[in-house]
Amino acid sequence: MAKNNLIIFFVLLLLSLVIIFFGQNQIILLFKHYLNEILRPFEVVFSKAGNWLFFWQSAVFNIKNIKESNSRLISENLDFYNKLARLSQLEEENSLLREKMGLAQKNINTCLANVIGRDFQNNRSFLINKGAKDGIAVNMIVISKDNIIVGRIVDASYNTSKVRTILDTQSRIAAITATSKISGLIRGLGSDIIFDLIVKDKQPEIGEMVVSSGTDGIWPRGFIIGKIKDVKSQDNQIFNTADIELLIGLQDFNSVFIILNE
Amino acid sequence: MNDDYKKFLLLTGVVFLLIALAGFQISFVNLSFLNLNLFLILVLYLVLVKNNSKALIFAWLGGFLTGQSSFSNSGINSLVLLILAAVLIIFYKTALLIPKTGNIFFISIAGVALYHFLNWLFVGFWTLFKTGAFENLGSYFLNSGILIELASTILLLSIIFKFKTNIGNV
Repeated sequence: MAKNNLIIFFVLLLLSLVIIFFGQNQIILLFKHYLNEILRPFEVVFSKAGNWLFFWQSAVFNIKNIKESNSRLISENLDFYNKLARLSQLEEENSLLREKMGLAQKNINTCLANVIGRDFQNNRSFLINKGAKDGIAVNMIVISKDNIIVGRIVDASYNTSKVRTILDTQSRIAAITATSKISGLIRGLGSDIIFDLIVKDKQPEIGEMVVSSGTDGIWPRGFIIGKIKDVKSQDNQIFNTADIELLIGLQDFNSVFIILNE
Repeated sequence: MNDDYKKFLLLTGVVFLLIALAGFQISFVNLSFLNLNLFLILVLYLVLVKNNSKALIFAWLGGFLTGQSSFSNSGINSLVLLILAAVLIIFYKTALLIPKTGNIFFISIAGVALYHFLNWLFVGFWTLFKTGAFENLGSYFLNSGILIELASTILLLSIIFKFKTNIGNV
């Protein structure tokens, strides 16, 4: 390389190392904040255009499936109307019983946010269109519409926030199996998650649900994480481990819910 | 218009385009099935036309801007693209000479494979440094995404050079 290019290379290399190792420095954080604010309008415009385009592309390619599912949904809808009537009756009874027994209703306050940016070819983190001005703060929990844990807020700027998903290697969740009540720790492996630190003499069932136990004081209790895919037990290991099958594709959704308080 | 004014306008335009490109990558390409890394393509193009200093600067800036959407990789994206640009400049100077179709093919393969390898290496070391765990190389290579990325990178670079040649002939 020419001398000029070498100088450029080493200056930029140094800058990269400064950003990596002093990423939490106030000046760098402030610079990143302003950069995010500049990028935001572009991200909002492109994500809206993308969502519109992908919606119509998927609608055109799946028109036959849509017709079939529409007729199926109409018949299912009638069935649900009947169930809904029964449910409202049960709800009434339930609230009466709760009142009598003095039990407080578990009320979760959530906020809906749209995904406006993602990492290239991985699902470790993504950007959402809600930030500090909407009451979003660092460490808030992000869930999908089916109450499945997606991740946690790791950075909240004024208008946008960054979510670190459970796939990230820095994600750790205290978890428990739903039926056999075996405790362990969910760890992100980058592209997958694992149920680690299972006591040697205990083996969870394959297909069993794993939910957050809340014992770590970070993640709320009772949210679904995934189901057991395979259990690994080796004689030379102190703990058993299990592969977890995620119940949602972290690339598939366009919106998520943030738990504001419990 | 004097030269300083022109330079200022050009610089503002380039910065605007880079930010728009980063926004497009983060919020359109990464959300879609298109497995394209636009800044990698830009770097490959600049290396092929021997615009080495621009390749280094745009690689770093591209990595830095697109790194804003990631958490684990903050700062690492720019380091990966910068080293990739440097390696490709040396590789291109020693092994390949003119931007022929064959060269586009080889440099695209080298670029995409090296990008994923360097990403795995730097993200892996950073994770090892912070959490003590090292990631599996397979998750960076053993997926269909890399093949689509490779094909689309070759296709897009070929289109750019074809277009450039046609413009040159006119």
